Amino acid sequence: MTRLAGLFALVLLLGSHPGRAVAAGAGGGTCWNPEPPEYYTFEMVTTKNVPGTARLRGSAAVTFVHSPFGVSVSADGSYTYDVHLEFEGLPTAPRGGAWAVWLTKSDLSEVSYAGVIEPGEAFSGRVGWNKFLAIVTLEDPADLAVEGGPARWRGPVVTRGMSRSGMMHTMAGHGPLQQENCAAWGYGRGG
Amino acid sequence: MAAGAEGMRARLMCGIAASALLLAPAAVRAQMDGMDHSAHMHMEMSGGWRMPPMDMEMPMLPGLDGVVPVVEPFMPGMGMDPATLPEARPSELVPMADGDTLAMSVSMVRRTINGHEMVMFGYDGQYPGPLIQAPQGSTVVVRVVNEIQMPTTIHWHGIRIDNRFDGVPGLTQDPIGPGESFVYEIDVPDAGMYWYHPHVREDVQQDLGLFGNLLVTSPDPDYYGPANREEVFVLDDMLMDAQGAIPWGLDAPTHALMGRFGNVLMVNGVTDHQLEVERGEVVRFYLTNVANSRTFNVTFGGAAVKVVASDVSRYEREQRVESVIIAPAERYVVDVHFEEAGEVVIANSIQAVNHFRGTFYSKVDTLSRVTVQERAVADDLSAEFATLREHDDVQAEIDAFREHFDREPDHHLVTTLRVRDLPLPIVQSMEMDTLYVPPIEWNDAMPMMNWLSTAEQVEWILRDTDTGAENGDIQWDFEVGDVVKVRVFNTPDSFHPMNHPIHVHGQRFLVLSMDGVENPNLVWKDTAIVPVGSTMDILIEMSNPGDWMLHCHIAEHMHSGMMFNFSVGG
Ligand SMILES: [Cu+2]
Repeated sequence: MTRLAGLFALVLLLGSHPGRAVAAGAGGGTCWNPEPPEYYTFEMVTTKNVPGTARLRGSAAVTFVHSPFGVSVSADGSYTYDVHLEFEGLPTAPRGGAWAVWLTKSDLSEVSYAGVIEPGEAFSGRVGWNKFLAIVTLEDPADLAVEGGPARWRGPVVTRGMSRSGMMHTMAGHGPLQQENCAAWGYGRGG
Repeated sequence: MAAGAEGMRARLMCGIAASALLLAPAAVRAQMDGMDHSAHMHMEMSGGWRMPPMDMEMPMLPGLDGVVPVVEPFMPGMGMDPATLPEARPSELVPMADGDTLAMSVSMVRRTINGHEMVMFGYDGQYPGPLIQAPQGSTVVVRVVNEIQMPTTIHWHGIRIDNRFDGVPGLTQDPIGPGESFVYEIDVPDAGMYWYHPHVREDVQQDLGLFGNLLVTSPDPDYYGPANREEVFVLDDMLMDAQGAIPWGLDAPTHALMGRFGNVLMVNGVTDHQLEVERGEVVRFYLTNVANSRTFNVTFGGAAVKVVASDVSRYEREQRVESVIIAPAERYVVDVHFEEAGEVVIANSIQAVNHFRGTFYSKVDTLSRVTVQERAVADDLSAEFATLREHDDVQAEIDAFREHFDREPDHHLVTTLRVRDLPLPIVQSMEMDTLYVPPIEWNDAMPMMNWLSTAEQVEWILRDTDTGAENGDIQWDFEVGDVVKVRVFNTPDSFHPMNHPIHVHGQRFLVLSMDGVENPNLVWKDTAIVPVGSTMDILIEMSNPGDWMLHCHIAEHMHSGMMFNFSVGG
């Protein structure tokens, strides 16, 4: 696949993404730019593991955290981003559960609980990693209410997406997620 | 390059005059085709091309063995004995009053970097050039005598200067030929730290030592707030191997894709910069990045840092930061509080990119070692440092422009590039590369590909998307008093996208927003970085009449076409 062809495919993918429609008329919690930078936006892909979420569509818009320098990096040089999640068709969580949002390094070596997302609402979090995953799981609210936040998810993964920087993997395999092809994460030609 | 008059101008700015050939080695291009590595060793002895250092664990692309840039190599003073040249002196402070004149030479000097004695250039025999200090509102005169074998000019970067003295060859003045002189009258309307450098083959002349600072002092002694001392840090890098500096391209720059990243980092021209401070000192650092292409992320160990000012003014509000991200040509003024005794390493701390492995990896290069003594500073400024000052006067000045913040842009620029005739392995490799490009290129992750791409093969483009005009064909005309909103989009959809520090001559601007997110703390700038994939909205105050440039400040990008002129009438 050539670079340009791949990018063209992505533009098509993102350009037709229903997450945009959600963003324009979203309910409470929408506090971000309605036209996020396309290059950093990525698709949230459903696992179809939880009943009622097979048709779930969503996207993660990523912007640099404000800094006086035009781009924001931490002292070790990692980019710091604000991540904004929006979904279309996120149902009420079954059996009194909660939809929990997690941000993790792409090798899952570090996991950060970001909070709960409600149907029809946008969600914002912050991340300081160059490559990261956004993951939504179905959790028991009691498990989320622990002091200092839960260390890791217990419930099933509902939907997940990989930051655009996760695409930097050619020539060296797909890292810990290489069992799945790129398309399963929203990348690749024609999704 | 664009055809016609603009193309002529571009060639004038890019080309080295025929006299420079006197210093260049004989053409060896024809001998180099098909040579292997042992041949490279031979070429080193003849003053020809030798491969750039490959220290990135990056495998050489198959098919590139023995390939060299399509331009001839250029080394100043090739064949000269450096001992015949005066040893350059460190920068000296030159306080000037209104109307004072400084005679300043541009000459060849001897310098030693990383153990290598080299023929380099210097302003007044110094590295960096003299630190010129002038009171705000004054006019100082600098008489420049060109004693090197290349034409040159001086651009007074960031100064809202009289157009005649902006130092752009072919636009505001004729280049200063070897043996010639030019008198610059420099009005300095804004307090702050500025710098000066040539506008002829910046990739060569600036890299070889032609840069210096111009400090414009405010009549207000409390302009920045109290500090125990002030330090000027000029950040630079140099591309060297065991033989010394890698040659530059004679007729056009090499390293056109990513710019010439150096592998030897320097503060004020030295690789072992050191400071000694007393415990508790608040040190004000004036940072200037004079590197061709490198954006630094400057850290100060565990010491507390606040950013006070940038290119052309103070910020609306002082702000705590962990590090300072400074692109080529930018300046930042930061206060640093050294509270604990011991050693503090001032470093460039980045997540470098390895495109082959698809990874980021931590890279920390020491820029300066600060020894904080046990003895406490007599004048304790902790309380003042802890205060984040707000500058009502800065905010009030900006208030007059807020009515323009939310309106549609007057002009749209997109940055991209075209390539032609690059070696096939490079083209194929780029096609195999991933679909992700980091927002900022922190390191040269493809040293061989980058070196081989010259301005003959790469054209970097600023395109006006409203008219379709590119680079020199863009014509913008304004009047004094116009307030112009420009949206710059750095498209990721190109052969090799890269961040660009965009510089506007003769005026000042505000960065209103990045990627649609409003900037909550404004500062007047002359240069601002546009990361890959990002959209930056800037508001330019057209306050200064004349013909001015807008260009990318990566030297190799500018010389690969990434520039145009605009006029301000009145
Ligand atoms: Cu550029």
